[in-house]
Amino acid sequence: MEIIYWAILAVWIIVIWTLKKKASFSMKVALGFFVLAAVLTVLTLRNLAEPLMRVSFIGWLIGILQAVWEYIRNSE
Amino acid sequence: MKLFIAGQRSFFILIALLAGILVSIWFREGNILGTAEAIIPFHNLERYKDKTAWAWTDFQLGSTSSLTVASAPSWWLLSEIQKLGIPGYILQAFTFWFLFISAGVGMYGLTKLLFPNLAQKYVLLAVLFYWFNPLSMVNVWNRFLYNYMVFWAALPILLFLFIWGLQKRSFIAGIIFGIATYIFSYAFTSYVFNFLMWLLLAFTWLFFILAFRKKEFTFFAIKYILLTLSFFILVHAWWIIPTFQFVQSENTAKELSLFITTEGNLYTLNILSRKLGNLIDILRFMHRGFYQGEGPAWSAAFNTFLPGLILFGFTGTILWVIYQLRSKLSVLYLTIIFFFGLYIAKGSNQPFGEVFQYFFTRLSVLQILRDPFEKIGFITALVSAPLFAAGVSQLGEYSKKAVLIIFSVFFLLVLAVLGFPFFSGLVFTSVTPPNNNYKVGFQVKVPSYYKEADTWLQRQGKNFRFISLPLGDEGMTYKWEKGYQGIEPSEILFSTPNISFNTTIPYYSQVVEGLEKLFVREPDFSKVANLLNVKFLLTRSDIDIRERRLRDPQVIEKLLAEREEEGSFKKVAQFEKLKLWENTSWADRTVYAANKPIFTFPQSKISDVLWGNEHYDVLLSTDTRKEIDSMSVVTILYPEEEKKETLIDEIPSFEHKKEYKINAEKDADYELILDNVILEANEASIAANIKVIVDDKIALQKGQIQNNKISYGLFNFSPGQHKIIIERPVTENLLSVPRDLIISTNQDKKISYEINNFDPYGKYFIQFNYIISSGSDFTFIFNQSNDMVRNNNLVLQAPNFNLLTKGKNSTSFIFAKGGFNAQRSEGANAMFWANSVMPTEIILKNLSVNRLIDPLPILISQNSLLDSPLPKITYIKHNPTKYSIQIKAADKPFILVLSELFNSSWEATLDDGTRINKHFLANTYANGWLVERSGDFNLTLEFAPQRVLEAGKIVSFLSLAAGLVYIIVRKLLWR
Repeated sequence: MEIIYWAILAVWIIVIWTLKKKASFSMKVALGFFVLAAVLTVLTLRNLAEPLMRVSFIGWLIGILQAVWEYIRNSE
Repeated sequence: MKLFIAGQRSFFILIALLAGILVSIWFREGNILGTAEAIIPFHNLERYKDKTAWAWTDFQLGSTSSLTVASAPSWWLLSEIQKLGIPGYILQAFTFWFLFISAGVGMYGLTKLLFPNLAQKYVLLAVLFYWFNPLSMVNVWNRFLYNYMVFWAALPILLFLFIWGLQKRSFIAGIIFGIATYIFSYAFTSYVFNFLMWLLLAFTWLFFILAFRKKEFTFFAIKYILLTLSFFILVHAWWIIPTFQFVQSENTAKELSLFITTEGNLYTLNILSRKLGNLIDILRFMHRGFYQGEGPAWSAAFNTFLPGLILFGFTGTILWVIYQLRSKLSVLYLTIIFFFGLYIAKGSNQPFGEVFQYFFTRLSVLQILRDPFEKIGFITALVSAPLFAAGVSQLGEYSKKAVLIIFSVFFLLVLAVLGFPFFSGLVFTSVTPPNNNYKVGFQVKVPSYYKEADTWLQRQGKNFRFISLPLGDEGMTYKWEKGYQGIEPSEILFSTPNISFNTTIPYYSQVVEGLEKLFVREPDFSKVANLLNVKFLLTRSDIDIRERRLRDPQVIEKLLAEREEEGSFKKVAQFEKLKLWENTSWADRTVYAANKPIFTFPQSKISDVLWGNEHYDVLLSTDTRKEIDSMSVVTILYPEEEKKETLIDEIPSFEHKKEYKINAEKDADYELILDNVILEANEASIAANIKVIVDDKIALQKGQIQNNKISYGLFNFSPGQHKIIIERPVTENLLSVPRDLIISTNQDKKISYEINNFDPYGKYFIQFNYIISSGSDFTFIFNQSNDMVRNNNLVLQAPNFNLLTKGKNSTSFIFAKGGFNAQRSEGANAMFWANSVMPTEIILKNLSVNRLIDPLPILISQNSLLDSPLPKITYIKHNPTKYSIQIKAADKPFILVLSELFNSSWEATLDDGTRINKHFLANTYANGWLVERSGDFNLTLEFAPQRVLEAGKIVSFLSLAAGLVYIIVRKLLWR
């Protein structure tokens, strides 16, 4: 199952690369996954919530890297 | 900085008031707080200071202080104040108040530095969030470890000072940082916190260099970090230098190799990652174990719908501000640390846990993060508080009218939901008695008779130890008015060194693990006590024997009364629930000379002293024998077991045949003895059934059983390998009920059968065939008299068996078999009950409980005793690390023994400066030196790291003074 998260990472990177999406896109999607996972958790559906939270986490990691990149580019 | 502080006076007063309210609530009953590994230092700060002030302490059988010396200034200051007559609980309250204020002021500074335009009320929110978030609730305050608390309090202030220096390009900030770290030096008693702080500062430093990307700033930053690091090392020289020496010492290497391995660390990491590393918990800052069963009852409330939603709301606010202010440098800085913290906290869990695991197994320094959630949680809490405050402020940006409402809602939620366990004092409760009683919690009130007993012991001198009985492992529970549970605190309760618990310290644990058993079984126990320099035995009947599965103190006292009749021990004092018994043959053995050793192969045991007569005075392992060949000796060989018993889930395996091998070095006669043959009076015939075969010849018993030992006479062993086989018998069935029974039971009707002739240290096994003719599954346990009972219910502990209904309606019987170790209990029952309320009928056949006789073969040879007089020895103990020894009339080589735990850093130096190099393990735990000089002379025993500690103290003091002078001079010049 570990490979699935690497696959999600790869797909996510491909999407933002090809569609030229900014950090806001990744963060917005990640925030969406976070809200969904949070709701499922408080509804005691932990087994469903955890994978979604992991996807959200991947989104945040990518979003933060994009934000750093955007900051560097803007400050040049 | 001055303006920064002056302008916020009212804010700081508010923080001080809030912290004051908290500690007033916690300490309102006038009791100290204590639990877990933190024990109760505030009961006797002077005693605890001794533990940290020297490189060697007299705690346990003696031990190195290692990194704990970093806490010495804190304990010194507190103990000095206590000497003025201020009670411990006031000092503890003041300490907690100071820590909360430090955390608050630091968080204020950090938040203001990173978000200068943030309104005061939001900064207050950051402070409250940092104080009360679930990470600080569980990992800091409920965990109740002082170095955790100090690190938590210090982090914001230290990070603030470091960033402030970078931003203002001020070298003086590096000096102030160093002085501040001295105030919080207690935090550095943990390797992990040293690592985490410098990791955080290194990242901050690198981030600022990359963010500014200006040559001028980079040069400044390099000089700044070098100055900060150098000044830190100088200010903390007193513990940094000895620590480097400590980690390189032989004892440390042995300790590390015994208890810390990469495989073990990886196992811990994976277990804890699975338990605590779920992102849905981490993102709520929740310790899953604590909030889902392991914590006190109130903690479960955080798992319910509304609090769960609120906690996600807090994280959502943080994520929202990250999204909104992602182009802001300070947000990026905090966000990177926040997500790095989350990544580490989940350990080897997905996603990308294998990357962390890869580095974890290859970089040993990372293995200090084997409990990543607990450790990295400090960093996560630190950076999330300013982000949270900024997030709430950002939410207010959307509706100016609702600003106050939004703030008020968040303020109340933080205060009411997160703050509730703090304001109610529930944060200081746990699931274990007596901490689970909300009226007690972590409060501890030590009965006054401890003070009386301590004073009495101090009056008896300072050159002995005592043993507390019953003796258990590290954990102890006291049944006082405000009771205590945690690490056994006798080291604090008494100023006299004592052996009151067993723990995994090399040499120490080998001595202590079998000590109580030796006391119970061996009438000559005073010989063992003498080797440990034990003058008194202390019995305590205010402990909870069921919580800790200990022997009943009344049984021990009864045994001591018997020993009193024999003359080996004498009751000398009683202080309510504490009784003291004097070892009548005690003589001061702090430092003594010996020349009649008992040698043991492969490794000596403290019980070996029982094999020689009273003339034999020291135990050595045979590797030191070549050094000492002119003395009278007893040689003991422990044959090596060929096939180890395998223990699965604590259930002993009961092989009836054991094979041992022995390598004889030279042709010699040895007496073969079987030890540990515990038989009741009516079981004497069983001894004849123990079959012993030596090199294919059956050995015959010679003489009667004495003190659980059987002699098989002398055997000549030629050089080479030899084999001993022992076929072990079992006792008769120890149940007084028919072997075939029909029992009717249900959940509330437990059927139990007493086990006769019970041995509290024995190994047992039970076997029976069964059919459940009607009803449900049933459970079988071996119920011991000291089994844990909570809320009037028996707590099931391993091993227990849940026997299924496979046999229901079956015509054939199912066979059940299990093994048990007795747990120091006074009696036991075989107990059966059905697992449901419905009536259950079980047919049992061939029910029997048997004890395994577990003899241990020993080979002993004795030389004739030579009459060689010992030199006369006198000594002066200057401090725990230094002794001056005066030796008179030494005419032959002798062994000098220092009855402190063996450590290769102990040095013996003759008065002419010659170091004695023949330093070895004596008496299985102590230091021995072979002294070959004759005549009258002096020598010094010294624990070498103390010299380094002293030098380090001077360096630290001078550096600190220089730093302070520099700041004062700068300030005066500026004026």
